[in-house]
Amino acid sequence: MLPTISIDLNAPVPVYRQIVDAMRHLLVNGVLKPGDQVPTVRQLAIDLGVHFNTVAQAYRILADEGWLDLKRHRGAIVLDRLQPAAPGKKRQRQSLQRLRELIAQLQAEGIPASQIAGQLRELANTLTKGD
Amino acid sequence: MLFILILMTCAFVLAAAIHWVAAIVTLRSGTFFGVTVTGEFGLTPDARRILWHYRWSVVVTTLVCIATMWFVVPRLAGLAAPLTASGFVFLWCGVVFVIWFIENKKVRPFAKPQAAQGTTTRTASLTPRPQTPGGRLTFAGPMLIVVAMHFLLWTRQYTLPPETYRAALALLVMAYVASALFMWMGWLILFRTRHIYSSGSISEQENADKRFGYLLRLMFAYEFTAFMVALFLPAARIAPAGAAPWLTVSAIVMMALIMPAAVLILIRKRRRSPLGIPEQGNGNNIAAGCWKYGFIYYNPDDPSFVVGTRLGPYGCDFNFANKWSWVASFGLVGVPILIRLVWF
Repeated sequence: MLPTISIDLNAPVPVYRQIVDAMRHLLVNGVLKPGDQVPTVRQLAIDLGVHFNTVAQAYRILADEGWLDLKRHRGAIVLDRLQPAAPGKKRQRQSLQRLRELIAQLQAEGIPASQIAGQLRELANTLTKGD
Repeated sequence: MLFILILMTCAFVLAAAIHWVAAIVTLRSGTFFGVTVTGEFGLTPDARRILWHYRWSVVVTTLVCIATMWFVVPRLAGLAAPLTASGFVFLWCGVVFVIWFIENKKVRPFAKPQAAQGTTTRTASLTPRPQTPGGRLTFAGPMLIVVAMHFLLWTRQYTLPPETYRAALALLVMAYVASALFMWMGWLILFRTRHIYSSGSISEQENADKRFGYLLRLMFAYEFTAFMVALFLPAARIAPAGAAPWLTVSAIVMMALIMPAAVLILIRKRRRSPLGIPEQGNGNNIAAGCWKYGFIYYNPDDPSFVVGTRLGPYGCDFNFANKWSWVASFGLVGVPILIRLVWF
């Protein structure tokens, strides 16, 4: 499957964040493998119709997270990222808080709780299968 | 002066012939004079009438321009003669633009309804595209030819009268500037225009079309360089003076052969290409409302400097909401005028 990403210019989430989230999703799921080359900042910015700095910021975030090795004028290369150590209690609390906030946001947007619960269950099943 | 008038007449006739054919060849399927229409519209009597009117208006404009030029220019003296002759080129272009606007207005009532703003979702492939234009070192050919001719001229610098040297150098400068502009346009098409389709065979077709657009510009650059060299060789007294008409005629014949060949290739490619105007719903389509008069792109929400042209898959248009497009447009018009004014 050829990897593609989609963004919505009218979404409340900033465009650079959408790019980071979409690429991280492909990286976590192994669609983009270590050693793969991703397009240059300029190519991706032109194809998405956004400013170069927006894509550059997204790439920098992914590079800081250890996913990408940025090479000037040659795009970026996906790194073989080491699995980070299991998070401590504080980090676990933080991630739970983020999930709660996300669920609250979805409910505020009018998505019923039962639907969110079903989707979370579906995602949890996918995650456990992946293990 | 007679030679310039003959040359300009040939150029006008060639331009009119290109417009006669290009009106059909360069139009994307699904557009007619820059207006999105149904696929069958091109076959209707209304479409034929509009096309007929456009073609004949261009032909009449060309004939009037040629006749007026032959009447006025020989009666002028000094700098006024070449300047007026050049002015007719701008006049012709201006009138053809106006004819296009009129035909565009006539087609608008037949437009296929679609959203003025387009969609806000965008999709892009994460597969990197080649960073080189292809054709290896052929891109450098026109420049190398000009540099080689410049070297030849330099070796004869002290044997030529200053005016002859200056005139020969002017021809090389024009060849150099034109080649640089053609190659720049080719590079923009290949590397700076947005890809509408992000995956599948249609995306490969889009890539191939952009590459063809680049190669077409490269061919024009070679052709123009050859033409200018044909004028340069006798002007710099490298070729004997008797060979001048033959060289010029050969260059014109070569142009007259290559142009129809390019048009035939375009017709064949257009028949095979599945690319038309992207339907609404394809995330990367460019909103119909952003095209003024069907071919001037103005979209302040798009940071792109250039976008793929609406009239065909082998070119690009400036986004006039971007300030650099204005700079480039003034450069494209201003540089030839500057050369003309400073050099002659």
